[in-house]
Amino acid sequence: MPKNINFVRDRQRWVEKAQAQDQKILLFSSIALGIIAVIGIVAGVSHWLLSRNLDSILSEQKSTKSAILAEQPIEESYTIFAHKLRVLTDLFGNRKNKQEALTFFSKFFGPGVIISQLSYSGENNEILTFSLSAQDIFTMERVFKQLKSPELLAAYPDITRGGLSRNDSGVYSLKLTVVLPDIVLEKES
Amino acid sequence: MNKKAKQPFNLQLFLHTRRSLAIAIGLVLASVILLVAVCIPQIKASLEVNTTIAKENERLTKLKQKFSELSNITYQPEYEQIDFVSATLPSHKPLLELITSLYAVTQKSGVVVSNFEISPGLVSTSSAEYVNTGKGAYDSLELKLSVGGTYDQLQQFMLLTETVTPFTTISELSLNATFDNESATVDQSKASSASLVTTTFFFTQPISVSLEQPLPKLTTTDQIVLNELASFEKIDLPEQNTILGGGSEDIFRVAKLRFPGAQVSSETVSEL
Repeated sequence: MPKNINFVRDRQRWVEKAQAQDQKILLFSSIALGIIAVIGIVAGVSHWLLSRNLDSILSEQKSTKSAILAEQPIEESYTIFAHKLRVLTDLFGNRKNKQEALTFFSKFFGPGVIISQLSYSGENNEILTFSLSAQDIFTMERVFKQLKSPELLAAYPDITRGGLSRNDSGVYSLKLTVVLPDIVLEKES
Repeated sequence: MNKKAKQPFNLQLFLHTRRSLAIAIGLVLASVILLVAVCIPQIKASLEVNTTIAKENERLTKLKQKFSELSNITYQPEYEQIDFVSATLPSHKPLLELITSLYAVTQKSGVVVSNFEISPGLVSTSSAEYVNTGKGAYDSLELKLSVGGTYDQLQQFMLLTETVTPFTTISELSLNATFDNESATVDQSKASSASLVTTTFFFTQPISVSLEQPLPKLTTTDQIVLNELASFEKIDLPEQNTILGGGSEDIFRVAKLRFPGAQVSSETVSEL
């Protein structure tokens, strides 16, 4: 006769097997928790370090801004100076246009012809109206011939002749209207 | 035979027999909570701070660059031209400067101004604020004048007018020159007259800058303009250093009141 009868042998085997499996699961879950905890700590520390870095950058920005504000009068005068130079560029360009045209026309027609009147019109003063005065009709005839010359038309293609008049002293005047080309200021070589 | 009835879940039995599993479940739950509540927010926050750092670093670099430029600007040769450029293109209506330069130019060239006319418009408001009626960046002041002198003097006058401060251009000209009968050229020595309209420009553009905006850079064209300005002559407004008195006559004529050095008229002095 057997000494004892084990009615739960199968169950015991099942429980032992289950507990062994549970131990494995416990091990893996502990490792997972550990890893996640480490990640959390690393993320927290890096956030803290980055925040410190950001604070120092912001503090440096503040001190640099204060330093710039202290130099405000210099910045103001220099900025206005630069803007004024831009405006002067336009004004010089427009005037150089006129000066070059007047110099050209004064020399082109030779002695005995002078520019006696001039005025500007147009949005950017690009239309120059002037009168050429000549001592006599022979000089004026020379002017008429020269107005047709290719050299003049190449330099100022848009030129219109106006009225011809003669005053009591015998001086002949011819009105001309010229559209001045756009000019770009260039450094003299 | 009857089927085995499903046994209800016994928590105590479960905890007793499968303690390790219960702990493992607890650990998994804790891991999930840690991940969702701590790790992910911290990582997100770190990424945001990193992006902010990149942006602020860039801003800091710009600010440092600007500060460095500001510190060095006073040593640049262009900086010395600031006053001259301001005199050439003033930020106000240069009425006095124009009249002063006109006087200086007439003295130098020797012409005689027979007539001049100027309409400066609004010179001052109650709030001293400028009312811009110009082309935005600049406005102009017109001066009409008639001058007389030899042809050479008139030429000199016109040349000098355009090379003194403030920046002035002859916008209209009417010249009455005398021709020499023999040479058919202009008689340089005979008296001639001219009517001119000059336009003097001044700066009116409002300018605003921000702390992070870099300083404007001077271009090659700006350098060319500065070279052109080198041939200009700056006309300074004369400074009044003494008080010009009108005499020392006692205008009050009060009895028993004597101003030092005052001349008392012989008329009857009124009494208080």
